[in-house]
Amino acid sequence: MRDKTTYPIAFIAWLPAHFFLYKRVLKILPEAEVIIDATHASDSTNSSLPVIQLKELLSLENIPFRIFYKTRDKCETFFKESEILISNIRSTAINSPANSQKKQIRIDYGYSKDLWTYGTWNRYFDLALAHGPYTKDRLSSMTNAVITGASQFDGWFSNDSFQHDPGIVSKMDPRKKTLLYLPTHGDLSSIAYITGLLSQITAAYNLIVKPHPLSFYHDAAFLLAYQNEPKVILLNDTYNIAEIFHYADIVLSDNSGSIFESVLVNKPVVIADFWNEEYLLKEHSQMKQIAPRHWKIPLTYEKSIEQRIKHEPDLTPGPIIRSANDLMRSIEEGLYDSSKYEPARSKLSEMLFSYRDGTATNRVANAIKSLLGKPKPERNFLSLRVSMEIIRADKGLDEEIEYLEGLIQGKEIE
Amino acid sequence: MKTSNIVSSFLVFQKLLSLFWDVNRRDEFFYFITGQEISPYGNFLRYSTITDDFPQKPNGAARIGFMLYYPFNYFLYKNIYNLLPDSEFIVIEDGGAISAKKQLQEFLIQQGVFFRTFSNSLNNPEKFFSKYDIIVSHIPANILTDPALAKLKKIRLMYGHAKDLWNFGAWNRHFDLALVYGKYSQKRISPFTSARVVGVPHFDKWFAKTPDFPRNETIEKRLDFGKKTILYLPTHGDLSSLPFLGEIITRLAASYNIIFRPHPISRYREPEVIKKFLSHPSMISIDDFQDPSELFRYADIVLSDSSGSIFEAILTDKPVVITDFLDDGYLNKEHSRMERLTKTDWKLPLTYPQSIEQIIKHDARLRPGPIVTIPEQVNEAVRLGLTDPEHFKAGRQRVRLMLFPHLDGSASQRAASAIRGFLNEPRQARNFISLRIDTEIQIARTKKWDRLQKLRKTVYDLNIHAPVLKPVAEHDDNKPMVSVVIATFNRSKSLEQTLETIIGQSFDKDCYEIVIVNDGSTDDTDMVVRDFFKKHGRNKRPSVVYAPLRQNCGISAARNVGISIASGEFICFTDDDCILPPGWIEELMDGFKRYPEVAAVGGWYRVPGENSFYDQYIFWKPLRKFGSKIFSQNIRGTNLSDTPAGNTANICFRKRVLEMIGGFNPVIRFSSLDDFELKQRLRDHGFVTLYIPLFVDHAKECKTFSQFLRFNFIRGWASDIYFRLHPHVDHYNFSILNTVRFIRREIADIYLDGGIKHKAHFVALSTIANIVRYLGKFYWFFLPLDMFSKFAETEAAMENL
Repeated sequence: MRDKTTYPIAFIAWLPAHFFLYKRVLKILPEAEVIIDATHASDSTNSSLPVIQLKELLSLENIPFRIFYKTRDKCETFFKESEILISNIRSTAINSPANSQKKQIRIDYGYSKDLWTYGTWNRYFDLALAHGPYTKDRLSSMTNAVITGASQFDGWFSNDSFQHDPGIVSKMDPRKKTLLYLPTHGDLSSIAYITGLLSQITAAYNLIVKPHPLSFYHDAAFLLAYQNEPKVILLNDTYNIAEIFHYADIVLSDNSGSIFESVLVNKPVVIADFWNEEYLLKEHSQMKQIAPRHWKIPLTYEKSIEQRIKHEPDLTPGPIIRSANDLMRSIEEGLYDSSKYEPARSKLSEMLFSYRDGTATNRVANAIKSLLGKPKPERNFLSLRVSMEIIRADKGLDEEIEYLEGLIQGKEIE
Repeated sequence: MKTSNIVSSFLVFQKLLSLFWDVNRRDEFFYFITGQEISPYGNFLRYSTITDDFPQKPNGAARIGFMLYYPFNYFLYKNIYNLLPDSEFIVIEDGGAISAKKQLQEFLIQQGVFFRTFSNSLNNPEKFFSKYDIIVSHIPANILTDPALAKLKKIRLMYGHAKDLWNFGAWNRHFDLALVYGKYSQKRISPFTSARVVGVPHFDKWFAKTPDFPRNETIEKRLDFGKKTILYLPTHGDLSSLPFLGEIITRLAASYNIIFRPHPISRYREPEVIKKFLSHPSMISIDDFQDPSELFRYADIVLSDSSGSIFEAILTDKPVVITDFLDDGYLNKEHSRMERLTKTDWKLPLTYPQSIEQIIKHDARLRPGPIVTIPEQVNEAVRLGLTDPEHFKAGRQRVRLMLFPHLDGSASQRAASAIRGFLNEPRQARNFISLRIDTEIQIARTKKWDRLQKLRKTVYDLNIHAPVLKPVAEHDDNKPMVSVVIATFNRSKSLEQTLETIIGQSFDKDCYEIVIVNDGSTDDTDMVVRDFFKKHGRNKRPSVVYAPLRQNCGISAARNVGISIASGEFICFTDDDCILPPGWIEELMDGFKRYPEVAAVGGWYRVPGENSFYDQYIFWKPLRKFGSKIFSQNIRGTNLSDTPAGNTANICFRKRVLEMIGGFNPVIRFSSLDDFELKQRLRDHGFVTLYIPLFVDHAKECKTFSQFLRFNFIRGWASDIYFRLHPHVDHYNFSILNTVRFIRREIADIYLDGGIKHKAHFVALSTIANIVRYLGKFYWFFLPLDMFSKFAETEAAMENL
């Protein structure tokens, strides 16, 4: 939906969660539109559902958007008017060679899985907007990074009124405390370990489950048990995580970035730690194809922030459970004896989130506008060296791929 | 027996069977047994070089090894080596200046230093490097990232400034410690590894209280002391001033002494570029065996381009003239592209506009001497540099301070004590940037492999043919056009006959060579080949190249050695027990002339004398599809079953094609399906093969039943390897079900083939052959059998190397 001819700023989204990440900033940036990267969405999920959901959300909010299909749209033409591209990862659209000379901004979308979050792919961005000093330190080697705070959570700090969703409230028992379960996806998810405890949990608590968006596509088999349990309130990706925290008395998570969002909104948290270091070093570091164009890749390592908090007491924000059997006891501990974790939560909050004052949205918008009309910054030396190394590593493979592609296309080979 | 006993016995049997099956299918188990990775594609030629006996002078107490790839590397380490009695040099036989390795080994013997020689193709890296705690290298050689060396501490010794993109590249992450010149380099290497400032060890002599430079008679004899001396030190590749300065240097040589030391990479890989400089009568050319730091003593002025020598001139406070013929646009575009130089080498992006050697050309405060942007300015710049040496002294001083904080002659001491100290320090965990780079490489590589497999399958499925290759007629007259490669192992008697028939070819004797690779024979093969040399005469045509391997490396590895050293554009293979018809080469080459698009031309073999039933069956099996065509027709094709050509007893390949597909896969050690595995990769690349009705006599005979069993057992083993390498080729998959299918299909073929007289015999042989082939998969469990004892001995011999 577009009511203006040109938008120099393009936010790239391929999951509904990305809309919520950008939403507050979009409201104060009339120069911006959203590009739904349909190719990336379908490659990553093997489904068109994310695009449909995004379209609905954007239309409801009356935000201008377009849909990009790599096979249909000529990238040069499609992005002709875009001066700045903003994305949380290297999606298909932003990665297109035709966009390499555009100014590109990387927006922070949460903590955990440092190996991925601060990966060398960040070098392709001209600017990174960080939630706090931890991210800034790790991204600075690859690109210019500035701290803006987490705009998605500005509502928590600016006394925005919050409307409860009647659909959710009607399913909750007001006499019970509410456990918000926010597992990550793939091999680091606790989703399969918790299924056996569902009836026990729902007997004692309201249970809201909001799985990682990719779990709906790659871990669907594990989600069946949750769908079949009538007392479980299962929320899909069209719910804004920042708002869902309002329902929670305590949060349960595993290796997800939501641990740190719980810390930000100061909710007690219980953390599952069912993976030992050896698993992270061996099995987890193997790649596996899980969709035609989507791979399970190494995301974390023993020094990643979500692993450190499980092993460094001064950073541990809540009870850690090494076995599912400890869950009920730990929820009790988290709910009624959470004060001992306060110092760690406070320390983590300082370390990870700056500007917890409702001003992050403005800071993000200003940082983006600061690049408008400016030339594309030069890439830093480290980033150049990393690129060279990565090209050097597999040039032989590239050469053979090029040769065979040429052969298939019937090109004349030297 | 009770029913429960039968059931439990059956369950135990089933468990054992499943364990047996699981273990046998696992690639890890294969690696455990053989020490080799199952790798379907790769450049198997990379590790194949001629492997004469290497001179060695090992230091029994050595815990530290200094890696030498080029002769001049010795001078980088010499001063440090002298301070570390528990160190020695390691000459890397098949890297860097391969052609000068022999001289380097002799040179090291003359120097009286301890050294060992490592060969990728012969030495087990784990065993070879097990004596060391630390290895020191100045560049990222492939061997450093070999998993076998993962536990070794690795130290990088810096070897010069310039080309920051390379010098401070991300490859430094493979080292645990870097010993660097100063803060400038420390800052740039630190993201990848821990870096300590030590200074420049190989220039210590310049800063000693009483410098003691030995006289260089080669130089002094040729110097005209009435003239000033220019030391010309160009870099290599596209950044070199050599292509621009040919004329200018000739003119300068009339007025000045010119000492010319080409970059080692130019010397060994760009001989054409430096040829006219080396042969210039007035120029004093310096080889790679002279200490580069001592040359500055003779220089009144240094002429350079983007070479690190600029900074060595600054270090020794010599006036310098710098050429700057390449603009930023070139550095950002043309120079930043990678190009393949040889089968293993690439031109890499080395520099960028912010690199130190570019900065000093543009920043007036750091300028160490006149900068010339067109060749014609060089003469005037040299004159200016010589007449007013103080003019750029301030710039030199600033650069010196920036790059070289220690000018006290103690850099070697600092480097040696850093190395010694590191012996007892624990290895640091890898830093986060290194981890992130490796993860990105892993992700990209996995995806590329996946893409490659899919493309290969598409080429295979669509039956796409490679385009027309270079016609036969265009070859270099200075080189033989054809190389006949023969790999031999313990068959001295038949080899003699085979060689005679190669010598007796009707093909123009100036146009072919014979390459004999002795694959570690323990009989009198070596004597037979040397006698053949004497009889044939060293200078006679065809020329003969002999490559004796110290140990048996397997048929594929031996053939790869042959490919690597062959000079011909076409490489013919035959076996050491074949008798070739006199027109063999001629007919094969004729195939290329008539069908210029083909990558290989081959025929088949006959077993001389009366054939046993076993031979008849073995001969019939691969050719049954072609019937009488094999005696009369040319057959072209890409699919394995399109054409019978491919047997290494009788085939000729274009060398370029063998290089493209990487040679023979050394995982296949025995002579069974080694040729068809290569043919599979030819197919996967879309190359066309031509069969011509040309036969050689092959003493490959199966006279007895036990020989027949052995042949099929080995074929079963080879089939299993083949299928693991190429899982999409199901007809080498000897599963139980497939074995039954193969037998059923063969029986049908036997009954449909009117040419077979004793069908019942063939049916019996087919059944036995396929069952034995199935059993061949479980080769490792049959090790005690005599047929493989030789292989086991060879493995043991390799271990003892």
